[in-house]
Amino acid sequence: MTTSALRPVFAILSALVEERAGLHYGPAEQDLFLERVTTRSGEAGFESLLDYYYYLRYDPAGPRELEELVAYLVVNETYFFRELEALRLIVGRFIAPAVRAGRRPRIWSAACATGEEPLTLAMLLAQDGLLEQVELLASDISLRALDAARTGSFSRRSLRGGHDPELAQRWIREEGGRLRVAPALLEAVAWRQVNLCAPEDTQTIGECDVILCRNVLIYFRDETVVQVIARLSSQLKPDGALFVGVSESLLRFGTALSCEETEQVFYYRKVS
Amino acid sequence: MSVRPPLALTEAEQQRLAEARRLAALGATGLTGLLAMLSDASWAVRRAVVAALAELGDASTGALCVSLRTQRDDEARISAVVDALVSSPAEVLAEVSVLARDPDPAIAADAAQILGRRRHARGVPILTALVAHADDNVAVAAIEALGRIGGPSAVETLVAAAQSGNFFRVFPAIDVLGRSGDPRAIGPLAELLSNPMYLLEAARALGKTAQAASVVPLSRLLSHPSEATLRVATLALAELHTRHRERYGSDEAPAAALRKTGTGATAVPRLVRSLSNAAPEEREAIAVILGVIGGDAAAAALSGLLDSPDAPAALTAATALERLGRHSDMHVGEALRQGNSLRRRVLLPIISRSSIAADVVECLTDGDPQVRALACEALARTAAGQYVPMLFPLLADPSAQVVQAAIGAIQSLGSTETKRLALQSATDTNPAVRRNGLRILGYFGFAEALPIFIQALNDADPRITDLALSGLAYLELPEALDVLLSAAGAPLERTRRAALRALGQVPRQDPRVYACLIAAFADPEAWVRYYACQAAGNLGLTDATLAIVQLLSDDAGQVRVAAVEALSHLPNESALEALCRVAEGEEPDLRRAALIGLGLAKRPEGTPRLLEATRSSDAATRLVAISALAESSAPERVSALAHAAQDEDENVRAAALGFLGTDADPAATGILLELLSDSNDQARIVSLLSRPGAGRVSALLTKLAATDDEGANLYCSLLARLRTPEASMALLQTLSQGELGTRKAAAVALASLRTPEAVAAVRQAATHDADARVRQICSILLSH
Repeated sequence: MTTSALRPVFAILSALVEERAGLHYGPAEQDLFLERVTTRSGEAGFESLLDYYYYLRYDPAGPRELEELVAYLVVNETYFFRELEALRLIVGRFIAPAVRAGRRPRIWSAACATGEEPLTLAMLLAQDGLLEQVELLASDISLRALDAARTGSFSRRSLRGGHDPELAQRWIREEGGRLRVAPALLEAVAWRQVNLCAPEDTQTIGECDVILCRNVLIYFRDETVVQVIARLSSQLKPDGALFVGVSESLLRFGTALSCEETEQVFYYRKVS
Repeated sequence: MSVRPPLALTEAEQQRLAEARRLAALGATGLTGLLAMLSDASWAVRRAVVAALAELGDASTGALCVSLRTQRDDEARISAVVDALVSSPAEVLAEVSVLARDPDPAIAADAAQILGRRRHARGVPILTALVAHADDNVAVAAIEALGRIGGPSAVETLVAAAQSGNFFRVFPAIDVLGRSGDPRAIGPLAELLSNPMYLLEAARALGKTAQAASVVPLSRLLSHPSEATLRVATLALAELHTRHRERYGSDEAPAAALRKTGTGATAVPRLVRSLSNAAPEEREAIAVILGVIGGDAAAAALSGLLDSPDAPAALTAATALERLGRHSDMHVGEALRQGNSLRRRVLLPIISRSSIAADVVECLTDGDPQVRALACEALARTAAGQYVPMLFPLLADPSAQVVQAAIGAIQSLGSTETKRLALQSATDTNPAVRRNGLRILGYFGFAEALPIFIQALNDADPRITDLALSGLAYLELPEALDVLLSAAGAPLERTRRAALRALGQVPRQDPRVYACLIAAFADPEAWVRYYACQAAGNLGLTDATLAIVQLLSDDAGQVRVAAVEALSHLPNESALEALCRVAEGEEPDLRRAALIGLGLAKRPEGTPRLLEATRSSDAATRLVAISALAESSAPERVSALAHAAQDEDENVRAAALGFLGTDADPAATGILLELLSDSNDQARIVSLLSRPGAGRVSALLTKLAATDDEGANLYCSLLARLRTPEASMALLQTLSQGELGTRKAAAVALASLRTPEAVAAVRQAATHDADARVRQICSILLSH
């Protein structure tokens, strides 16, 4: 089918995905999007993309399949020790002082994918003897990713970004060609399914000292970014901090958060 | 640990900002107050004041010009005034022209900057005069302003500046001359290559001219002793090729000029040696030039670049190798056979020659699934059917992408072995291979597959049963239809569903099919009813119209939509009436399906609803409406497409532009040309206008009859890109009969064609044109 003939199908499918999960695909991404959807629709038993669309829209099993599709589309590019400096800063600058002040701080990893980010945080907290005194919440829109995270079993690619040898040796072991994380770390994380674009999901999180939402906003339109940031901000305690990816910036959105920098790590504070 | 203060305004700044907004809200009454705030210490406040003053338009122009002339003790203030005059929507040319003649050079320079930043084409004569100003700063400001405005009008003045020997004027003039694209700039720029002070800048500028005549002076630099000069020359040559292709649709003219210089023998070894220390963009440029020069050494070097860590250079090297054609087969083949997955990923997408098919086959067993998939696609492009048997093992590949690519290649290539191997696959012990074998059998409709399909109906894997039913539809055998009709009444919902879907594809209309579908409309399962509707529509069963109309009230949404889609294929009044009704409804999916149906029906009754839908708040509905309108012959469609071409939704815009590009109405070309100047989709519009279409040439000639020099360059380059006899005739006609500006542009465009007629016409004009400038340009174009 030609590009022009596929355009209406692309328009309605991508609109459905964006409505559900905020992921935005422009015309330049049509081929990539349809290729991935075609693979998923084939697995669901549909040769025709239009038939698949109507299944998503009208069949009682459609919403669940839409979740699967979204999970399939989201590129879970995460690995252990990614952007480690930011995670160290979180522990040293925000969490340790809060614990010393007698509080039980909360950290929310808001788009954790297969869990390498919250588990890396757990390693750092454990290294400083803080793991038991912190509430660590990890969420993602993809049930499939969360299920994978809970197994504690990862491919070797999850160590591809370079790593802290001491931490890796202490908390990760190789087993049958895969990596296995210590059960104590898995148990320290509360895993939840949360759609950042659904207010009914985010408003149940509760106030957090630190929220991480890294390398997700790039998939959203600007309007969606503003809405998501507003929701995340509402779950931040006064003086709490939001961390986004190193290539992401909120400055052009004029949010209620103030941009700060410490040790070359940028973050956004909810000014009290 | 360091902590910077947050990025926020102080309370005092916020108050002053509020004051600026208050004054802005007063309109012209707030002018005095706003002018007083132009010296505010805060950048944020000054920005707000500048914006407010600009918005006042005519009301602020005079006061701003007075301020620029009389209040010159604060640089920040001056800068703010200039910014306000640049941004103002008012017509400021008259007032700014007065400033340009001010005896104070600083004021004249500011005036030049304003004209340049406003891209004021009517300011060109003023700026041309300022280039000769006694003060260097004014001259430089004027030269830079001309550079912003663009266009060939000021070339003679700029050439004089470039030849002035005054460093402060020569330098900015070099860059502007390069971007002018005027062939008359080439000689003076080439002269500057002999001056070490200007060599590199002049080389870069020659690259920007996009003229094949610049190739000769640049090619001499490929043997310059300095490696830095070699690199700059290579970058410039690569840029020249790119710009020429963007402008005229092909880079063959500069490529031929470069090959003709014969510098390959000395240049290639030097270029290859310089690869090791080259920056990424330099490697990319070297790849381009090696691909143009060609030869064994160049091909070998390009093969080496396939492993480049930066993707653009690797991709460029692959494209360059493909450009070398059969001369590079040995190197391409070796690169495939011995290359790693990374190299193969870069090379496979550009392969299409059957001479390399054997090497492509080697890639079918690569460890990288993407390489295996690309190899399947490449093999299909080579049309080398003798390798089809090598694709069948991939039906068991663990990667779905590879399997899809392999099936696609098998279907596309066909061969005498396909039937045997597909029949064998369809009975494989591996269910995945069986499924894929059935797909292939269904695609080709081999009659020998009948017993296999029938046997597969009892397979434990329901997907195999589905595929078997689907394949039976294409066998054109009475027994196959019998099986399908029987399956349509099976106890299992999934079987009934698949059978009805398949019945929509049967090639002949058997009365039993009609009865089967009507019965299925009452099936308790929604998806069975859905596929029954779909089948009825595909088979064009007009007798089922009323039964399908009843399904518009079905409880299941997908059945309602399927009913609408089925009605779209039934050319009768009942169907049309139902479609019109649904097209005005509230359910978005039904409405869209009905709009598509109205488009297919091509009946005038549908047009008002389609036009109404082009104004829907839902982008997907607008998209479907314009797609449907584009297929119709409604006279209103072109204006609707024109409106949609400026839609806020990029999908709608892209679709509308695409339809305008292929519309048979000559007015569509006119609309695309109007959109060209304002649109964010300029590159796309140029691409659409480069394809032959109804009324293209006459529309371009109409534009040429009333345009300026810059417009003439654009329209003549579009004519050149068409590459049709009619377009060539138009250029020849323009060269012989057009106004001065269009004759210059036509000469350049004809030179890019390199046809004997074009060259002869340019040669004729070089000696006989009435204007010396045209004769000069033509001589330059013929000089390489």
